[in-house]
Amino acid sequence: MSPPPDLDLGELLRATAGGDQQAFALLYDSTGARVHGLVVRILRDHAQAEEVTQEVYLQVWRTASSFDPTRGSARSWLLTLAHRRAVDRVRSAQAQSDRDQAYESRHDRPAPDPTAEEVEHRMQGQAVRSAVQELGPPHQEALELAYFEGLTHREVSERLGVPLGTAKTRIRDGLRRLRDQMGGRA
Amino acid sequence: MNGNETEGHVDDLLAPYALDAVDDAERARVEDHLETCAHCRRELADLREAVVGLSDGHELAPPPGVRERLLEQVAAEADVVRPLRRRRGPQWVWGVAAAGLVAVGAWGVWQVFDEQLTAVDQVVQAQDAVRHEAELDGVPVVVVTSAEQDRAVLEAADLPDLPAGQVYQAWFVREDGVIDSAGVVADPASDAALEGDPEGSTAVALSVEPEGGSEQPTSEPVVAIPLEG
Repeated sequence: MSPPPDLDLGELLRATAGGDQQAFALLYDSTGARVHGLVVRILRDHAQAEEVTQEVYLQVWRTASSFDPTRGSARSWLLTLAHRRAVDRVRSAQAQSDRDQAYESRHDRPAPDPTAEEVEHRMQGQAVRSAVQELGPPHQEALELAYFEGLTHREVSERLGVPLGTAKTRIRDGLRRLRDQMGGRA
Repeated sequence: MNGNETEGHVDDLLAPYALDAVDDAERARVEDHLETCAHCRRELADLREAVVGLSDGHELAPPPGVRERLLEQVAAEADVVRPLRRRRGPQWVWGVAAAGLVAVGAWGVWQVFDEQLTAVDQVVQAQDAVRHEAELDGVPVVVVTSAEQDRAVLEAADLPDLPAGQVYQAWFVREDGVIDSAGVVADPASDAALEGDPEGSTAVALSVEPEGGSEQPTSEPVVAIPLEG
């Protein structure tokens, strides 16, 4: 049951806010892979990610009326919510200690046992991801540590061994360049 | 907080904020500032569109069970019944209704969630919301219905406390005399979305029932709120 490609996510969110369960289902069908992929990327643990993805959509159902289209796109609202929820989970003390070990081993190894589907998705994603890769290592690294590892900008500076100001600059310039590249593509 | 971060440097934090890469104090500062600065709100919206690009290519379908569980939970939440409290002299009798005890028994178990505002708000804020009121020992008892939403809400009321083992249960009294459960009122001090569609009902009644509720009322109603119109 795949949704029509041109569904307006903002409309679906508005209908969801009005209690429309069908709109909610369509919203989930249109965005579930996007949200879950992000959550998996952050948490690395499929069981935890499944829980968080479910929590995210329950929160969407309950708080859809707080979406304000003048403050950004529906997709951005949804991913912001998902990211926040996943990062909250990461920052909880216990998860953090697990992750520190995982981070160390990640330098040498890929994420544990990715499913075939995951591999396929990631391969499909290579072309798109080059936008991030084109930023060059310093910016890409700062952005990915902040966004996917759930580090604060202060922790990013510590992890990279650079002054706080440098970390902030890399994050800000990285995002601006990414925005410009995406703008150029659209 | 780091000493070299002064009040004036919120714009410095916008990009980290867009990535959730700030601590709680910084987040609060940025959010305070955003309330009053349209320029930064636009800049943030812009940065967040770039952030969307960061997860491009990471799409991964969630396990199939997630969709099913979500839709079940959402359907249940849409019907959640919230609570009430207490009893005194029954004045109103099930009367005509007794003849029509067809026992539909729309009877279920309600899960009570942390956040039930949605179902209640949808009814109360509906364009066609209508308030219906009755009194129980001088305490107003209010039901709000919305035909558009096919739902009714029992507003919070200071109902008399019930002895242990007894609960208030709400009922739809249908035009044809059938009585359908509208759910056990778990906490009368909060607004509660009633279970079921109020359409075709002449009244919402409350009765005192054993804990867990009954399929059909086992006592006379303590109050009935007529649904005119």
